[in-house]
Amino acid sequence: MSEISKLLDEWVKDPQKRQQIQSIHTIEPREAKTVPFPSDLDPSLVSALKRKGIQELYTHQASAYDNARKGQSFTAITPTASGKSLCYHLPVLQSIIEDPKSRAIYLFPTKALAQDQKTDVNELIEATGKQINSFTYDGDTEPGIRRKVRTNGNIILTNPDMLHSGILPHHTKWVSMFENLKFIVIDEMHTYKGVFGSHVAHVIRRLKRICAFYGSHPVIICTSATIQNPKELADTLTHENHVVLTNNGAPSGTKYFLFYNPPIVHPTYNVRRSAILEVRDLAEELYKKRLQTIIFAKSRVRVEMLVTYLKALVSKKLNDRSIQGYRGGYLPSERRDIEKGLRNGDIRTVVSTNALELGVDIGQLQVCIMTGYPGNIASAWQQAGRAGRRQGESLVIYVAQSTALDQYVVDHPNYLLGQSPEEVRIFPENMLILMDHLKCAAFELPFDKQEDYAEYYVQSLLEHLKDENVLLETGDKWHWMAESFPASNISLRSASQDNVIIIDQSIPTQTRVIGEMDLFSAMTLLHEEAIYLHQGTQFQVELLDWDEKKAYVTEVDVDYFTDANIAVEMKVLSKDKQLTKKQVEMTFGDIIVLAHPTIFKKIKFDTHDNIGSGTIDLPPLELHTSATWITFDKPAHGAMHLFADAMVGAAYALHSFIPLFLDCDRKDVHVVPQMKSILDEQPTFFIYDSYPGGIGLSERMMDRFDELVEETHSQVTACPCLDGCPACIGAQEANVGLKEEVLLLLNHLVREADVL
Amino acid sequence: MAMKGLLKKQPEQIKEAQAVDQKKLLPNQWESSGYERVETPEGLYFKVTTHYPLDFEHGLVKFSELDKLLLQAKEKFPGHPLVPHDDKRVLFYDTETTGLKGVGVHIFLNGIIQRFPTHFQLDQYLLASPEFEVPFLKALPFQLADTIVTYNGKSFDIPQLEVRWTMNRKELPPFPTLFQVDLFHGSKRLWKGLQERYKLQDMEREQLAFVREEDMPGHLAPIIYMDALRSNTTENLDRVLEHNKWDLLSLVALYIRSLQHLLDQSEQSNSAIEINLAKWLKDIKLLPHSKELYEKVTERYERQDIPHAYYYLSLLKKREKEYEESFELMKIASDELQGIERLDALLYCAKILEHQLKDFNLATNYVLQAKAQLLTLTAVLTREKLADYLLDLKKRDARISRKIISRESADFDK
Repeated sequence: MSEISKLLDEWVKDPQKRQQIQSIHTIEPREAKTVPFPSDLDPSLVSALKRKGIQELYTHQASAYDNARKGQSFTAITPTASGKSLCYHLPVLQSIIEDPKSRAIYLFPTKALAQDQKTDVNELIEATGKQINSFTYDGDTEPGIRRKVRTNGNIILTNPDMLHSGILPHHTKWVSMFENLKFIVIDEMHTYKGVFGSHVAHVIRRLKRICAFYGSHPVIICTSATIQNPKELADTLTHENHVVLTNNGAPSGTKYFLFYNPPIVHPTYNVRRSAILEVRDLAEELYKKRLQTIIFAKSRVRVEMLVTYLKALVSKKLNDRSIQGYRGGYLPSERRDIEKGLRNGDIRTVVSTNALELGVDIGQLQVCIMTGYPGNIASAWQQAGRAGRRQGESLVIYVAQSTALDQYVVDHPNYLLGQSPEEVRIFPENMLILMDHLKCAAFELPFDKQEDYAEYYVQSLLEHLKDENVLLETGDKWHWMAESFPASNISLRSASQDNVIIIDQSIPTQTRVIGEMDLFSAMTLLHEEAIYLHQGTQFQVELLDWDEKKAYVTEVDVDYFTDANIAVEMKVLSKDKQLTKKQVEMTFGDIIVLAHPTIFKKIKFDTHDNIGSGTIDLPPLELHTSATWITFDKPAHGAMHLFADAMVGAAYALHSFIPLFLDCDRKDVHVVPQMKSILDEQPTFFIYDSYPGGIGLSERMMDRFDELVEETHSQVTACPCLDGCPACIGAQEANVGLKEEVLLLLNHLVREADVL
Repeated sequence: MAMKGLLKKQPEQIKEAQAVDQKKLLPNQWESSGYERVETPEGLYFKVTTHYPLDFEHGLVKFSELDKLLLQAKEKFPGHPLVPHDDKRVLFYDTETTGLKGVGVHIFLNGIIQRFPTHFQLDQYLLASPEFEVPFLKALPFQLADTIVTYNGKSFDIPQLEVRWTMNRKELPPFPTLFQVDLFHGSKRLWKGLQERYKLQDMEREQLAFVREEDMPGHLAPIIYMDALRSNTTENLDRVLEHNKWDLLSLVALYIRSLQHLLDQSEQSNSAIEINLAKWLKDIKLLPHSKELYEKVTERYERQDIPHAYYYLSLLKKREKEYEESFELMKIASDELQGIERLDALLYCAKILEHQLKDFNLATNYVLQAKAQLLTLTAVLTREKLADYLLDLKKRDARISRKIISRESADFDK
């Protein structure tokens, strides 16, 4: 019996734990499906593979090779640890062996991944004994070797940001690369979603435009985790016709999925014990049993809280580093250290945000704990893939939080385990994003009067840029004629571009930068008096210099954390589509959202009691975005007593279930109720995209609103709580009957008009 | 958001054959400015030509000196970065551009000064419109192996020109290989420690005694050009041309001044410039020239003013295995130098006495002097540096003592 089976056996016999274990599912191991090496594969590659212990190719690797050789762009769907990198290494290396002038660009979503893959490809190259140069090219590349990389690199490993601001605007320095570019490889394609993905879609279009200028037409190879719409995403991302390869031939070991629901501590309110505390206890047990474990938590704050809790286990040992946090905002060197510690086993427990979902090589871990539902199925599988990457038994523990979606998933394991991962959407048509990249494209190469930009007919937009004195119109072209360097004003990662720098001033003579954070997060996490956690150390924000975008923090030791509230205000800019249905009128259009942080609460560790509060004094942030809003008649007087509260409860419930329908992260959209909208004094629900210019999410709600309301209604009805709880309409006071009112209101939204 | 209606994803029904009124888009209004309009089959550019007599003076510098200096420099200092390789032409080159980096930056003004048999000629080529970049670039008179003298051209003007060349490479011959003389680098070596900043205008003020009157600040050039393209006024463009003209005249003058220093013919010379130059010659491995110049310096100036010359000359002598002489020179240097430099000089003396001259007693004396010097530097040196020096001195001291003992015992055995 393996360690994992033993542990599960123990747990189901444990009278306390067995009550919390909702279900256990076994995913059977799978045999490898292989085929012989392709006949035209260079002998040096064959012997290199054999030296690595590879005697045959997995079926998907062979199909990948065939498609690439035919010049067909493709997308390989590969779970973690299925040898996906050979899907592109083999055709790329073969093409370079046949023609040493050949070039390829590998794009990775992060610098870290590029570094990791460089080691991988170099090992393979070394084994072939051929002279093939592969280099990373990113912000860390020494200026001294950049020229060498540009002129000699057969394979350039980089990221979209570098391509956007470091390569494309200087393409004349890369002539030999662009002339001979045979392949563009886009690894981890599923990570290119939302705003970031929409930006990257344009970077790829610009890249292809430059390739065409130099006369090359590279094949595009994407790899992706399992998602519902790989072809649609690949086609939209690259503006190319993709073949999707799903014939994964890699083997996998037995995997147990355990759905764990924390005990109810307050039956009336259906309040469950905090998932964080529950995860802490489970992780402690696993640590003591010496099972190497990765814990995923959804926010930076939670990662830091868990690290703080768990480090108490080893507080007696000096310099113990067997428990570590890992998230964005740590310095690269810190992260490299942690990755290495995981591989060599020095680190036994790591707590991570989704930063580690990606293919950073950390070796095999035995157990993965998800603190709550990560927001979408693809992410959940990526996280689960961290346990038992290659073979042997592994365990994935899903610990539900009290939120609606989490409870839905713990009750419906098939939502996660069934084969219906979500769609990944990008929206390159976002006008702000498109205009940004149109400027970059015009900077890189003048537009012809007859030219289209990928699938877009942009002549009138170019005319607009002329009016802004950015372009100059001549007989047959639009020329860039401005002093600015457009790429430097455009960040691919975040729609709001500034970051707040976090400066530790605990020792006045040794102030140092310990991290950075985007503006929207900073509003709630770095306001003055906030407790900011970094690697488990608590810092209090002493001063937030909003103009200079700097937060000064000092190390403290307190037993609470802070939680901030934001108030929002709405203005309608334009109405683009309208739809009248049953009782409601739906409108889609552009709005302005004013977000204004209001107060924060101090919440005690362990008990999570509210022990104080304060105001946040920051200017509001403005967001221009697209929204669908739903206006309806107020139910007849007397039918509902608590209409205002019911609106809030319904908005809470609707928002919770939107990710099920729109296949996005909960934070990508917002639902805001207004009792009397500024438009026509009618009650209104606003559903808006969280990003400037919108990313096409709220628009799709136009078609699926009825379904959303119905699903929400049945979930609220089925919720075992009495008066409303975080799993349905949000926590409520007892005995006021708000849950009934919310159900009435939801009914009101979808009933037939004539039934009244 | 207002642009939303402008985005079309479906094909437009009719793509109008763009019957563009070519005339309307041409910057023909510039003709009134007096710029020469040059029409070629590929389009047009504008040109302004100015002649200067052979004995023209800019600041303190006479242009008539150039020929003679070039001849002598080629003969005496072949291989020096300031000196052309062969008998190909020497052109002075400066650009004005619409921005600082990237392929969207246009060069809109190429300014060139050349020596003709009867005069110096300034040719300024103006980009009439970005669509006529090919004739504008073709007009450049650069030929294979020409020497191009610039100010910071290695990092800016020439790479920018290469960018424009690559953008139009289908219609242009390959970019000629040029020999570059970059006076920005030259100035930083020649006047090292003597200038606060090394911008061309600092150099012309300090070294050429030339002061511009009502010069247009360089950073306004892009705006003025783009404005001239979009509106009809060339008034300000004239001032850009003038700015470029001054840059080029100063470039010629500064080159002449630099060659004078190189050839030891400058009246403005002083010990600091000469030591800078000697050091430069040493770094580019023109060792005999370097030595010759150091020797001149030691003859020309009082030793307390030029300890560095003794220091470096000593190093050169050691390379030639002239150990006695090397030691004597370094001894003088150690007397005159101060601070860490004196410490290094003393250590050097100790080393050469120990390893080459085998005078261990005197070596010990220098180790002691070095120790004393080190003690005066405790506030200046970092703790690590201090420890390194101390360890080194200690080891050296012990080793020399051993050598003295072993020599004495050897003597005793005799």
